[in-house]
Amino acid sequence: MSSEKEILERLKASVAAGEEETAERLAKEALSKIKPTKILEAASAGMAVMAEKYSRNEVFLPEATVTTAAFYKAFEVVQPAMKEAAPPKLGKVVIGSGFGDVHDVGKNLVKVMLEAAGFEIYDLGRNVTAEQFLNKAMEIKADIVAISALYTPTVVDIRRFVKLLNEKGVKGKIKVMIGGGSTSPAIAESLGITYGKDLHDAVLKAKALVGR
Amino acid sequence: MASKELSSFDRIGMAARGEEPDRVPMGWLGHFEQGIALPNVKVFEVVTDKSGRRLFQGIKAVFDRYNPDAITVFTYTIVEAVAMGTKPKYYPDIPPGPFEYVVKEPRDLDLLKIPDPRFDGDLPCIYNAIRQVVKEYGGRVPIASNTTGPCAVAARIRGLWEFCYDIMKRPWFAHDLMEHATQACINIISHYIPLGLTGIGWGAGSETTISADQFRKFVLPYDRRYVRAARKMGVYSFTRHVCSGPSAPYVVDAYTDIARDGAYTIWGLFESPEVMAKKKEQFPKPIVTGGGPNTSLVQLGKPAEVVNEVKRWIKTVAPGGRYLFIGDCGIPPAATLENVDAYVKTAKEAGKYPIKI
Repeated sequence: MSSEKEILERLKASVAAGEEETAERLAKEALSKIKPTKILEAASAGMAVMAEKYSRNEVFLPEATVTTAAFYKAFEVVQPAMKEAAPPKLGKVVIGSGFGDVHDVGKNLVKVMLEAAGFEIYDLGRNVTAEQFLNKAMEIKADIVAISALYTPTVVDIRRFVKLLNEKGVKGKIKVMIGGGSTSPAIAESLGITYGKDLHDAVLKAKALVGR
Repeated sequence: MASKELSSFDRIGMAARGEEPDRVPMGWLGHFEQGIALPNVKVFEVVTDKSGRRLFQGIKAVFDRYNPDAITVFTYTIVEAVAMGTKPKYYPDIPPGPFEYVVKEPRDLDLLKIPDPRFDGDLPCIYNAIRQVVKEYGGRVPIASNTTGPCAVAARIRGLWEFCYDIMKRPWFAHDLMEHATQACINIISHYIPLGLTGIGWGAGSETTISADQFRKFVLPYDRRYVRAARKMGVYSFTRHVCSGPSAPYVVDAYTDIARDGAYTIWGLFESPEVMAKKKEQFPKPIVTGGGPNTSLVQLGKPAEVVNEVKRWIKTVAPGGRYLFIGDCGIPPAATLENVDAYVKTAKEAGKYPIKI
């Protein structure tokens, strides 16, 4: 019989490799003897392996899609048990592709990574206006608003969003993280917000924003 | 170096041969044709106008203001997929985006027809605009049109995420998608070219999300078929756009495998002029590089900053020819007219050979 550590290592490896059936089987096998939070951590670690390789341009979107699929197979097995003994979430994140941007692949990858890391995600989709981000963030008392922007005009609306947060007096309470091809550390710095360089960095920065 | 002002055909021809013409050729300026340069006209009104009249008016407005050395007649990057059933969402100020993809599972592909640009979706806008552009500018400047190419079309009928998943888990189906998309692209240009085009282009961002190996296996053979088909139709000038996805620096090199015949321009949003200059050195001689400053600067910078950046690109990449200054999607729709004016004026003045910046 496999040890707890061995099962979790195999689960992590199967998620990283995008082996959906193996990930699902191992998650089921693990559920009878291992805490669901630990199983989810192993699956998340598999996602992190992919994210690091993605950040180094060692793998690209095709590999990320199968890793994501394998993660969700494990996640779906564990989720019912998690609901019974739900650990506290790291924080609430409202995420979307900013106004004028209909690209969502990068946003979807960050969403999965944040969800795997333990954040509660509210995905507003594509072409999201500053007002839509603000309303949702206020409604659910979000910790972070994460905005993806591949399209340059989107940056203009990100500036407007930060201005809106200032006007409402909630800029310190609702943290803002940006990422994507048309954003940069300089833009983030000029607005007093956070820049996520890639998938791996986005998770680290999000955790730091909620003090974890 | 030429002492008098050349025609656009001669200017581009000399640059393509690795000679220095009178100045750096100015490629198409993009985006503005979608209505940005027209007062009180929304983008969706241009791209859905089947008569192509508004698109032609937008192209004319840009041409008359900037006198570029080439025209590309095109609208938006999911137009072929929409003609096959992908549902678009239209916006007033930006090009349409995908709302729902038509191929949800493999059997859906069997039901798709090959689009006819004279009738299907928003393609008649491009088809009819080509007629008007050729009538107005034919013989004065090279006129091209394009599709987004086999890979981008496959990704836009299936969804990029799903297409990438298919590459990993159902490679046979990824090839089926590419096969259908290639036939669609070839059929579309088979209607465009006889209208009087001198060049054909293709390329978008989808293919820069996969690895160079995947690109060689799943994209390059189909691109090759597209190019061969265009050549059989009498076109020998090709422009391959490599957009700015994570694998762009790797897949761009793969084009050296096929771009050895015909006049072939690879243009993209290279991260710096130094990188483009290096690629220019590395690429075999038939390949011309194209591109220019990054989009953020053109939209958000001041005119003086745009001037400096354009000069930097010209100084670094232009010596020795084999370089076209191409704006196209490097000019964001929200760029100010002031910045675009600075962009074009500087490229034409600073781009005079021999480069003296």
